[in-house]
Amino acid sequence: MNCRAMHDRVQAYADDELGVEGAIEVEAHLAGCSACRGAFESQRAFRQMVGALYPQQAPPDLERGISARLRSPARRWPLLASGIAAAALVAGLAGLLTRGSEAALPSEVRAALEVHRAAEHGGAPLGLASHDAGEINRWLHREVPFFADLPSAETSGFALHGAGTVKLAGTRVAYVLYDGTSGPVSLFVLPRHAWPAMGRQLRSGTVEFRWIEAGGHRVLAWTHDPVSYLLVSDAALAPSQTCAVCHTGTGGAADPRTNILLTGENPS
Amino acid sequence: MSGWRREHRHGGVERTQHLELLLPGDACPDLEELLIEQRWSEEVREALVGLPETYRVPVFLKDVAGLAYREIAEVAGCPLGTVMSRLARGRALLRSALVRQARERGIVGARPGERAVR
Repeated sequence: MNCRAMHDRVQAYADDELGVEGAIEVEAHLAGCSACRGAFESQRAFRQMVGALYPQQAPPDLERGISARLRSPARRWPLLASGIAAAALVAGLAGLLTRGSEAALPSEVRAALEVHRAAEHGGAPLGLASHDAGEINRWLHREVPFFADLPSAETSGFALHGAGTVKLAGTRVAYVLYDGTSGPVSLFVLPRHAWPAMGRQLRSGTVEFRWIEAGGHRVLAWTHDPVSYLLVSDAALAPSQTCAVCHTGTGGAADPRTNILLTGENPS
Repeated sequence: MSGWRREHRHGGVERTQHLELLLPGDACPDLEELLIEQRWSEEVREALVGLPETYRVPVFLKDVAGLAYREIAEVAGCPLGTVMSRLARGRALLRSALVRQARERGIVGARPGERAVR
């Protein structure tokens, strides 16, 4: 299929509107077409940037524009039958889109938060229950092509609980669940292109970090070509502790910027 | 095949222009990263409010509120294909406005792809 015929599908894919079959077809095209890959990446980056930066309250003019539509007696509102759509719309109209609220977060991050909440209630989507890093690595290598090995977490204060695969905004990613003293910690391993634009960011060497706090959770994202990571934990967990999931001993906390990175505050 | 494809096949929609779908990525490819670095929240909001309503509503509902095409079509009272073309056009307009403003404020260089020396 030529590029012109793919345009609508590339846009729909960037907007997370395609099912699995459509996504596979578009990915196959993108793998061999740098022009469409560039278009896809620019569309996704732009959408994520708008979602991440848009301020906490919907502008009054925009609210008025949409409210006027809602008040129009000629229009039927089947939308209201859809709980999710109604909730999102009401949130927008009421100006409840706070900077940290989930409605404004990239869809990958919202989906990760949902998975993490399920894990907090014992409903993590695990395909393998195991405490063994080697076993989990072997299992995930079979399930997701881009997976990079996890280190053992034995001395970190976290215990491996299991692994699975989940879909975040249409992308199948690896999921690893840890048990910690402050509740579960969820680690998602994503292909590089699924890297979500969100919150504050900081570059440390070759690694770029981004993070937000929402609903009592902290979401930390970082990328290390060709893979990205999302780590979801309780926001009350000490920032340096979350790094210990992958960095035992001194770990991530060895970088004095870690606390500044994760709390936005310079301790000095 | 999904609904939006069917609608496109059956016509009656605003066809998206080739270049509109390809956001002006060659003009300032680092724009998104730079604006996040600069925390351009108010600027993004002002630029979005400045769009014509035809484009402002779908861009807000998709990129900020996170609604699906189908839901936006219901809000806007138009076919799915129209939602897609308005989204593409609206985003292109929004991005152009932000690029222009970033150039005026010296955040990006005057030429496409050029970072300002800071």
